[in-house]
Amino acid sequence: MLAVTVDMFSGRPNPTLTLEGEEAESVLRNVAHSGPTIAGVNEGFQGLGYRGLVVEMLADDLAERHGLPAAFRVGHDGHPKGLELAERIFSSMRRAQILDEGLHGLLAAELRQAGFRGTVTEADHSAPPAAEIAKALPPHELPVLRAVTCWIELGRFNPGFWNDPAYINRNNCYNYASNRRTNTFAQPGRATGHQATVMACPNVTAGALSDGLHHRFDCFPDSEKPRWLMALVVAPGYDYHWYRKQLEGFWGHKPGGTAARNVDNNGAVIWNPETAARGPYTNFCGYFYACKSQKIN
Amino acid sequence: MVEIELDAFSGRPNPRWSLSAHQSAEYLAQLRGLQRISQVPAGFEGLGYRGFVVRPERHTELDAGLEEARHCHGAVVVRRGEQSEVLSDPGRGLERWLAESMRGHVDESLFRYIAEEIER
Repeated sequence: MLAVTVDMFSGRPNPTLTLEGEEAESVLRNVAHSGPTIAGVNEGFQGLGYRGLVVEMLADDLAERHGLPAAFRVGHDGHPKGLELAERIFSSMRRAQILDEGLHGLLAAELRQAGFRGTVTEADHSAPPAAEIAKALPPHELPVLRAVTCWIELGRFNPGFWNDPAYINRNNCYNYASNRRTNTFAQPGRATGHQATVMACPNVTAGALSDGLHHRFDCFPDSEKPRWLMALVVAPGYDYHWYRKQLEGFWGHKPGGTAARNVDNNGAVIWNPETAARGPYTNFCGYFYACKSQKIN
Repeated sequence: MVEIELDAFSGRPNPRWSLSAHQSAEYLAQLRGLQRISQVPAGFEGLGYRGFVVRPERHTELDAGLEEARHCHGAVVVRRGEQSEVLSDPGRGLERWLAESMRGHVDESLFRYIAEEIER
């Protein structure tokens, strides 16, 4: 048995749906296996309006069986799988007449907003071609060298979300940079059958592109929000590492199973991953965009 | 038998390997010989070599309830249940011994990189 509460009101009690049997199992399987991010009940956005779903187990065997905490928040951070689950719960509440039509419509609108809360969309401009290159080219080839502007999302630095003891060892740099806490120590290309085996820039890049990432300035449309800006580096022959640009302007990262942070090996805040102290990760491979349809495992 | 994890990777999982029964007993004997110290080491959590983590694969009398021993920069943080203590590894002798046990489990270039990091 499961209680799912839509955390949204300030004065009135929040609406709660109780699920039993296969309905409850199905929700928990969905959370455990399809990968929406979950957080502690007291984590996440705490302001006015829709704040996510609070799921509470009402039987003592459920949490352990599904590998989930006994109470958690989901559908709070714009993760598409979390938003899907929230939509499903709203529909069940509407059918059970827990929500009237007006409130159901209001929640649907709130959910769309929740997809982008805590993030800001910003222009990402490429440099124009150098004058000497432009001069040397025939006029018909100039358009391909024009400066490009893509739109990207930047999220607030939130290391606590990653450093919880329940998740810190199960998520790596690729999880962090993609902003997907899958708990699978995700590998570029594994979800799409092209996991890199050779640790070199072209190989890891191929895996990431196979998962759906784009090279920087190969723009994604708005329908692919959130489009995070990521940077890839390689320790030639043995490993790779990713960074993600944050709303504050610096870059965040998570070395393997260690804590997420915004500083490099010298303890300096990372304003430029190309020049940051990176230990053996000496090869800078380039920048990429993540996207909503990215496959990751 | 104990399992060793080389804590040095970011994207890929850290390499792990098992010691033989004889090596495990030798390791645990060396660990028992280390002196307790009071200061907790700062540790290193950045990119690159961060140390070795040793865990028993199944408990025996020899490990005295050891759950995890984390070796780095001449110190060992040992955890037994809720208890933890810090031991001194003078000259990083036991850390070097663990590095030697990597032979055959990681490629030669990685072995050399770790050995150089310990010698720094």
